[in-house]
Amino acid sequence: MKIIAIYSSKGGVGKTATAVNLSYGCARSGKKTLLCDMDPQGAAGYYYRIRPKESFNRKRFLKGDLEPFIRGTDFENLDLLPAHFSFRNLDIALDGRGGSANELERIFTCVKDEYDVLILDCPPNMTLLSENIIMVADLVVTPVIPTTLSILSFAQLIKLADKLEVSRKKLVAFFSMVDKRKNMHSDTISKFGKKKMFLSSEIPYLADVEKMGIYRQPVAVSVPASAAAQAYEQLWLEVWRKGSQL
Amino acid sequence: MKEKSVIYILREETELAVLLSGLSEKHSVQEGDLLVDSVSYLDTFDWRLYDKGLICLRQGNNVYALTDFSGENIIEAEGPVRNKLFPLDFANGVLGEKLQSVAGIRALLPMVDITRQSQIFQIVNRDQKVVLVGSLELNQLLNSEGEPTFLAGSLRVREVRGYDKILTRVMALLQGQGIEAGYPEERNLRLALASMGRKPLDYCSQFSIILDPEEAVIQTAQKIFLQLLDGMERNVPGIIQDIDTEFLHDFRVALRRTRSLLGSIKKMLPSADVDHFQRGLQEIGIATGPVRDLDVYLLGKKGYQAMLPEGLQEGLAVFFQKLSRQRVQELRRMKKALQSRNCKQFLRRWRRYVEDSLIASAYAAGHEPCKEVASKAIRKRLQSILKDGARINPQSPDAALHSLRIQAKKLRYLLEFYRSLFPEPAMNSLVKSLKKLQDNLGNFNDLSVQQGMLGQHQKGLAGGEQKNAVQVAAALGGLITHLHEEQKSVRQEFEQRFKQFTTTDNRRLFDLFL
Repeated sequence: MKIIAIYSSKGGVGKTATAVNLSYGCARSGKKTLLCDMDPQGAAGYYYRIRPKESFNRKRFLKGDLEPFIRGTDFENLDLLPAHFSFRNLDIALDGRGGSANELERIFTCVKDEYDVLILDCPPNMTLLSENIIMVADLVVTPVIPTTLSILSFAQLIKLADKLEVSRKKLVAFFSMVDKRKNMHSDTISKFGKKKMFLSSEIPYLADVEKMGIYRQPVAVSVPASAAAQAYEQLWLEVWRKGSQL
Repeated sequence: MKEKSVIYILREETELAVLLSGLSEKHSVQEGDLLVDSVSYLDTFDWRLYDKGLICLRQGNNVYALTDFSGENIIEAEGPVRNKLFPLDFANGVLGEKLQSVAGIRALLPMVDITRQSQIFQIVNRDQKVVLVGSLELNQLLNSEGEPTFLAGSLRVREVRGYDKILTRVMALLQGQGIEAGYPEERNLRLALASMGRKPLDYCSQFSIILDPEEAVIQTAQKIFLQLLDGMERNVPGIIQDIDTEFLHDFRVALRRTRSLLGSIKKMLPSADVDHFQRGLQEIGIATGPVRDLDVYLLGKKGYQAMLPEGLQEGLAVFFQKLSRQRVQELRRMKKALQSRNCKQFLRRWRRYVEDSLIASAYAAGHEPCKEVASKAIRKRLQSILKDGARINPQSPDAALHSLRIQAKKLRYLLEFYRSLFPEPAMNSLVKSLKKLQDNLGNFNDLSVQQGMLGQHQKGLAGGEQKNAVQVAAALGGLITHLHEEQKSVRQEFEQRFKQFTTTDNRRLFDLFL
């Protein structure tokens, strides 16, 4: 099972949209896929119209008791483990368990035989949970809005990876919510886009992506022939190619 | 994790809205489009699939499914688009392999065509999230006027992972309406056939008849003759259409059985009658022989290929092409003979004779109880086999084995005709051990006939202008050598096989006929 984490310490960069659309693309390509929503806001679950079961909580998650709480999406090969409100304190809880960086690996053991790919939709912070995610993932995909702050937060991620002695090769970024009419966006892209860590696929700033909250579906389902659907399809292919090389 | 799925059988035409009425307000049903497709139930002429508890369906043009009656094991695959097809026509895969193992060399024929209306549906919750998926299928048979008769339907419901409560709810709803879990295909097939006046397994190539031990033997013979004649007649259309090789084979087996039975009761009937019908039956045997012989060679092609090294394969291929061409000619000749007025009239006369005159024409001996006559005939045949077989030694001429083979065959037919008059386990075990002896004798004979036939072809090559004559002659020579060696080893096995047939255990079985 390959683990792909969609991570950024910065909020509002399009992580959940990425996780939702990439998991759909992954399942469409025939891989049995589990999307795990680790963000207590539960947006990934919202997009797939899935609420957590009442009996689910952080404690169950930490025990690695995941299977009874996984729910099928409306799409073949794609299941989702919804987030729970109690996930907001996942950090503290992880710390309470000794803070080991491979806690997540233990938690996900129970699903590793059933799924080909596990996609993690991560909360925006830089904590012990983030460290766990970076350790356990085969590939960490970071959406970067072409702005200084966003670039800075990606730089922080690289620093964190170095500190954890994790290979930089598993960090990739792509430009998200790109608005080419903005000088700052095009300047940032031309300055950083050529860097090895950046994928060539970009996700433009598009209304169809924003409307995911209304349609509650991946863009490839709500607006199949749209630029947004094509952009995510491209992104998925590039991410998978990258992941396969590792 | 495998999601739970349940199939319900619908014995009456029902609407989805009715079946699912009673769901809570939190849930609603989204119905997909109605699709109408034709479905054919395929089987071999002798129902080899159904006999093994299997049903093969073709939906639309080329989507095939092989399922057991419970629907628990379904193999689906795409296959060829044609009406007459063989298990070998399926590309390598689970479906093709399974069909080959059950249907063998027989063609798969559409037994009945029905119309299937199908619709998928889903149940969604307040978030419009799909929480259960399902499908409804309703099957009907259209008569020649296009009027439908409802057969059976199915409702399939499948859990969406993590949403088990709704499945439990739906199951309870259906149970409340008296709808049972079950799989409709066998019912569809049975009902569709019934409306055409047919039923599954209405033809079987195995001979089977229940007899009354006290009945006059001539009456018994009448029943057997009629069953054999029915069998012959039912195979004729398949022979004429050349559907597969087994129509002719079954036809000829029934013909031989008829001749054998007629021979065994000949003293009970006026000899003029017996001679007349024996001659006519023999003529049909002669007219149908060449195609069957060629079929045997053509079916055995792989075996012959395996006997020869690579270098001789080309010659063999040319030889087989020649056999195929010959078969085309012989088939034409045979069809003409079977469809001739002479042949049709003869079979009609035979039926009339069996139905109307057989019993009345029989002498007093024909009115003895059949069990007594059967015991005597079997006993006599057994004794002569035991006597003749014991005399055969390694120096005996081949003719001695051929004659024993004919006797064994006659005994086999007697045992099959009168099987129901004697205890079943004893008869089964006797037939089984006779079969082993017959296999040896049959192999010996086949090998000898094959060498003769190949030798004939080889001689025909000399001086001819056939292309590749040298390669063909070499291939045939190779085959003859191989077959000769095999025949020697079969011959050596004979004594052993005969000894096994006459073991004390078997001799005890022979006492049944005292």
